Amino acid sequence: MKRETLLLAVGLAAVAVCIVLAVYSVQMAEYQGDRIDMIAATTPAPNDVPARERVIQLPEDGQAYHTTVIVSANWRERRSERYLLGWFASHPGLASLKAQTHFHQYDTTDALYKTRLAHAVPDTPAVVVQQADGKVVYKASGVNLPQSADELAGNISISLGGCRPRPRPQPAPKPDVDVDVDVTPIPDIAPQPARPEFPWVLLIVAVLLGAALPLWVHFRSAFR
Amino acid sequence: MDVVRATVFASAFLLLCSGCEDRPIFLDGPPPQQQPRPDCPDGQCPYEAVPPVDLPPALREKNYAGGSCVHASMVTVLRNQGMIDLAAWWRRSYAYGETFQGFVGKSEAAGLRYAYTASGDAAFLDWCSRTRRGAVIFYKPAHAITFAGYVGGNAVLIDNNHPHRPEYVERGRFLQLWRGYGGMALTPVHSPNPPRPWI
Repeated sequence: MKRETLLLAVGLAAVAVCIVLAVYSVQMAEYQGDRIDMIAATTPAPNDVPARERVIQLPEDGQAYHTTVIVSANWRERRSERYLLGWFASHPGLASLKAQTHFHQYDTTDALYKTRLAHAVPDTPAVVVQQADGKVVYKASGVNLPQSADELAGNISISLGGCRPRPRPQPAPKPDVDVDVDVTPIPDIAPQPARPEFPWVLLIVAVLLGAALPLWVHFRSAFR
Repeated sequence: MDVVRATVFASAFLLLCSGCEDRPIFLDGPPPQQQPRPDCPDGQCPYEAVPPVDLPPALREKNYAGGSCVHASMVTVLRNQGMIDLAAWWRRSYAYGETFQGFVGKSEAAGLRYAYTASGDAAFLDWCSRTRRGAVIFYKPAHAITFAGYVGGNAVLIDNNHPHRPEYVERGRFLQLWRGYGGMALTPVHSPNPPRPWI
């Protein structure tokens, strides 16, 4: 068998592998990207007025979502919490989320955290995404917090994908709620993403086809 | 051999391309105009009766220095918009009586993003309530308080002379009185604190 034929076979097999990887990458990108479109469509930028400028057009951001990051009092000494805060500046998806929602950062010594959030979010660090009416659509805290910015962005993306407008139900009496009562701890809401399966079968078929084609051509010409 | 070389180059190119997963997860640029959404579509909001300005009593500034109602109200509103440090600075820097013109000037000098009305514009207070920002309003004779938004057709008012006891005034009556006192209101334009969480 000629050396060129072998190299050609290997080359075509590599091309087939690359095509499969490219298709898989596109699928993954769509899987991550499509989930977030709706929140972006329904959430205006909270503060779109340049600093030191008299406000003329008031931002209609009353329905904007809220993103809250809660860290411990000594978060500066904890690398993981510093990284968590840094993700919202460096990761494109999380930075965009920060820009499109009301973003808040509290540590456990903040008075507002202690009086309004501590009962619902006792563990730190924590990331909470809320609708404008306060409903929590994503929450992860403590050991359940994703270990990478990509994973955090992906999980938030999936959670926000479930926030579709729902029809108004039949009229019902309003709940009799004591507004001064703090809520019980809110469990972490971190959906497991249904990642697309890697196309192993397609990969094997592509490699076999890519390698077989030049070999078939070689042997066909050799036996003539 | 040219065919082999071309194949190898093509492989390398495709391999590089397959690693370029750079599609942004969140859309860039300004989002489209949002449509009004009915509040609590499921009728499940447990905090419907909570005023838009939902500041714990400990963060509502009490009148100080024998009469600093404008500044005490401003400190409360700043805290409601998450500007704790600026509120502390305002509390240290300003005291005593204040005119509305002087108040606007101090807001400008502080580099604030702010909005105000001096013509009794009800739409301005509607916006302050709708966006949960609240406002400093000149209300009652020679006095200023914090407008905490509307709940159930009533204006919720935090008077810095007794900040732990919010006052409720029917919206029409409130607007009439507010305009009678000059119809002046001012608020910073920053992010309001997050609402109470629920699931």
